[in-house]
Amino acid sequence: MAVPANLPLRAAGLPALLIAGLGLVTLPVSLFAPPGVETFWTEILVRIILVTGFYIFIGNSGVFAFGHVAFACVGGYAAAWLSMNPMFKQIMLTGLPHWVQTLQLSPWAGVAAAAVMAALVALVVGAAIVRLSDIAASIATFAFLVVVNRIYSNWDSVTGGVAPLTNIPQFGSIWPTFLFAALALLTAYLFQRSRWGLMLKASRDDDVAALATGISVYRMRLAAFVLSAAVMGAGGAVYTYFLGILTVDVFYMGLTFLMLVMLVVGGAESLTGVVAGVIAVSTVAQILRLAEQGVQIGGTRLALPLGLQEITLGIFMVLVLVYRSDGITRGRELPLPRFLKANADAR
Amino acid sequence: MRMDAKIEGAAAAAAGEALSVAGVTVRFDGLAAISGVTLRLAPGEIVGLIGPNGAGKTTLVNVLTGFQKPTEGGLEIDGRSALGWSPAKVRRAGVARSFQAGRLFGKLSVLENAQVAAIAAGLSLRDARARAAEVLDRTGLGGQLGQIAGSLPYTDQRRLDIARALASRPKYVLLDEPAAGMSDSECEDLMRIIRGLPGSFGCGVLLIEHNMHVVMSLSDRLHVLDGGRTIVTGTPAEVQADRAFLTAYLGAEGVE
Ligand SMILES: Nc1ncnc2c1ncn2[C@@H]1O[C@H](COP(=O)(O)OP(=O)(O)O)[C@@H](O)[C@H]1O
Ligand SMILES: [Mg+2]
Repeated sequence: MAVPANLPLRAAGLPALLIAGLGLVTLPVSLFAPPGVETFWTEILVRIILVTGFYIFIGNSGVFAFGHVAFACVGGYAAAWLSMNPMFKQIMLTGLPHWVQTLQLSPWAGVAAAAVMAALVALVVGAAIVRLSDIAASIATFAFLVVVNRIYSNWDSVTGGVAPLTNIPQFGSIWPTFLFAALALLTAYLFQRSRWGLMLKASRDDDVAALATGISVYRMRLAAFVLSAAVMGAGGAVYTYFLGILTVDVFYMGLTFLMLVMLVVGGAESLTGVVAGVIAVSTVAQILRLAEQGVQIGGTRLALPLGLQEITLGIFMVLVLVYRSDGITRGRELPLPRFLKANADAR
Repeated sequence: MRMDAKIEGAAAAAAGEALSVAGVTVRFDGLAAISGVTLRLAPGEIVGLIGPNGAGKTTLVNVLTGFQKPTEGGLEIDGRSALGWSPAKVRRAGVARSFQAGRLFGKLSVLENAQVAAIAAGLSLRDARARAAEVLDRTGLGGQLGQIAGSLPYTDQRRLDIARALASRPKYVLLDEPAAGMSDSECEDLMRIIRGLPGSFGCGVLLIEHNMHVVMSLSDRLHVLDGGRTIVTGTPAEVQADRAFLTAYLGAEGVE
């Protein structure tokens, strides 16, 4: 039987394949690569977590929620609150409850706690937002991002305001980040293949027919919203443990723009698109960043003007939208090698 | 097997099970789309709903499926009032529909379209898959399970819409012009499937169809609407003999 690429049957080996691919790059990077390259690749892995978070909601529901970086912010600060050196917390974050001030959790526990906290916030906010029509929901999530940024920028005694928080422990290796990226991909995959994922995708294609089919569109959307927020929260925490330092504006417009470019370029409706989009856009962005720094030739420094990075990425996204509106993967998943495919079909 | 389901349906009907509206009026901005319509559909029977364009047929289907709250009148499913229920709740109570304008889950496969309906009815992924495959087989789509629904030819899309409605094992199926735009032979194919629904699924069918010949031969009873009002109800023979029906509805077309 000829089975199209995005039939779940055939996609059974998909996360394994994506994760194995990422692992194959991570291994030599961890062993041989210079620190600059290792940082570049770690950042890609972090972005895969975050874009996967976006994808779980946007890709399955079809509702463009712009504000999900807010959940990464919530997760990032949760990580800092729980893991920062207690001495610094008692000086900088005087508004934190005493028991939090004295706590110093491992990054592992911090990521888990960040996911839970982001999910709880999403449950409350999402209960209102996913009731809205598509456009209104998009705008509301964006407004939510602004609100979260304003609160975290100004609540000095708890967040340190716009000042960076330092003395946050780091993982010290690329592997934990890889593991969380793998976990994010697996979560997204299991969700999109679940009963709930299928019902949500049906409502994405036609919400009236979904209601007529007995699907509670509201409940499916809320579930995806909460799950995607949990992944975003975990991603924000992983990012924080990767940097070892936290600034509120890291989780704002710039990151939102970058994530959306990655999602759109890769193709918002496939998990393969998430990985492809992150890698493609990160690479282009890295080249542009280097070009902005410039090269020294003789006595003169040749450099592209600052800001060109965003402009070029914007143009890149528009071009993809014009020529391949469903992204470079055309919304399809990776074709599986034959031996995996046979297994998948047998399920 | 076929007879069993039919007998089951008849038994359910005898037990007073039915989908019904009583004295239903729907007004849009003061204009009545339907006025004082009373209709009853029991499991196991086929009722033809006919009337010219704009007669209010789709509006009535919308009322029966919870998509349109009537301005006046009642809606009952098996003796329980279903007024104000959401479409999803009405569906879970056993009332399924197809749409006049396709409305498939375009990016899902043929199999998934039917599977998701069975899932929404509470089945596990695996059971829903089996149920969907079975229903698709019976509606003649068994060979296209993996195809993306949006890429199906038009007539197959209409059949998939019906298969999706059947996949939740509804007690009542409302089909809104399922054969619209089909050629005569395609239409006959489809009608053979529809004729078999009460027998194989035990459900009641409300069929909206413009082809007089087809609807007369298929229906146990007919309900004729014009300008939002019921002008006549009864067996096909009774309706064909009715004066009001002949002048109001077939006057322009003549009897075939
Ligand atoms: N949502 C709506 N708003 C306003 N008028 C409507 C709406 N839906 C249907 N109507 C009107 O109600 C009447 C009946 O329409 P409809 O039920 O679609 O007829 P049919 O299906 O028999 O062709 C028409 O005059 C139509 O214009
Ligand atoms: Mg109509």
